[in-house]
Amino acid sequence: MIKLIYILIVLCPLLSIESNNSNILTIIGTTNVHGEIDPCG
Amino acid sequence: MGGLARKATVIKNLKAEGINPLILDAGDLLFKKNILDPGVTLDVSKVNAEIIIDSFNEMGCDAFSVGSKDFAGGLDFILEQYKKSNFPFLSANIVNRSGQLIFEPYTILKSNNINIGVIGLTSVFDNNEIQILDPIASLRNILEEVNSKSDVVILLFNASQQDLTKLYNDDLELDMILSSRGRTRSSDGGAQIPTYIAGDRGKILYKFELNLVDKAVPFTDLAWCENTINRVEDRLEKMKQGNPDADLIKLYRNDQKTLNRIYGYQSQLNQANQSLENAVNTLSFEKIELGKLIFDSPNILKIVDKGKEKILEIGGPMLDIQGRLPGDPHHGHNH
Repeated sequence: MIKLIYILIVLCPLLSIESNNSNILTIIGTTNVHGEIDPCG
Repeated sequence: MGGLARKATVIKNLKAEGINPLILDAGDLLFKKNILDPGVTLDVSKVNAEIIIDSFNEMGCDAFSVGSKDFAGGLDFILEQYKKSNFPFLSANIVNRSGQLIFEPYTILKSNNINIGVIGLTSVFDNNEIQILDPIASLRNILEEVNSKSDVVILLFNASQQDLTKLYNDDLELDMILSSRGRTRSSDGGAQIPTYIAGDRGKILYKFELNLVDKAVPFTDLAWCENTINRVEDRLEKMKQGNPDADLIKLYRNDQKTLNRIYGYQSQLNQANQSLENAVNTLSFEKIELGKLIFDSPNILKIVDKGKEKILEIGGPMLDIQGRLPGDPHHGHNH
């Protein structure tokens, strides 16, 4: 029983982070690459 | 190497962290200019363009909006690349001579249970093989349909400044614009629909985070709010002439012109502060420089090496000692 409570305490914040992240959209955007394959050298 | 090979590593690392980003390109991806001299220069540029498409296929891309420079290899060439790509080429206003759309006008992507409508658009440019319809009218024609299928709508626009201004005046329902043609690196998305240009030559990636809480509410561009607050506070502070406790209205009571400027600044400050306080959906971003600390993706290096061999076969100009292709601004540099 104590183990179960411990697991729940540990997991709760993780589950809450997961739930908050579900509305976040990550986008990688580029513009004007201009045919460059190695602009940084 | 850099550029593409490092971009692939950044994307791979994000995926390893459990982030599955949408990868978008706003156009002018494949060539430097709208028109290239025929002959070896064009042939070498086409191989470069093929390397980019093959690399995008390898690293993943969710949408590419075709811009004016992407036609420098001719219509047949871009159609060939379109066929062999595993990601959509978009344009809502590039049509063939019969007036039919050449590419899909938009695509609906899904990420974290959010439906994202991505539209491709370009400002008018000259090309004998195609026609470019009025961009704003073309956008208006499809926007309701796209909005009905999406929670978030993003426009990839190879845009002139004039068309961006027209678009802002039309008050269209868009959440964000990624714009090519300009070469600036945006430090925020401006006071209108958040609009970003990620510089040129693919040296920098922009990583955006859109936090969606209420689909009916527009996004607040956090960078614009913060930049506006800092800029305006700085200006007001300078007007105090070294006395931080000075009352500006009293100080300039006999100077109506300056007072008007102060009222203008205070109004901007209020607007930015209120936007921050009332923000529901937020947009933030970070610039990722593809510097030497980022490893090159071996898979992309293989694609590039294969391309370089092809350039040698077609008799293109020799690569420099660093293995850079002709046309690279660092070609011939020993660094």
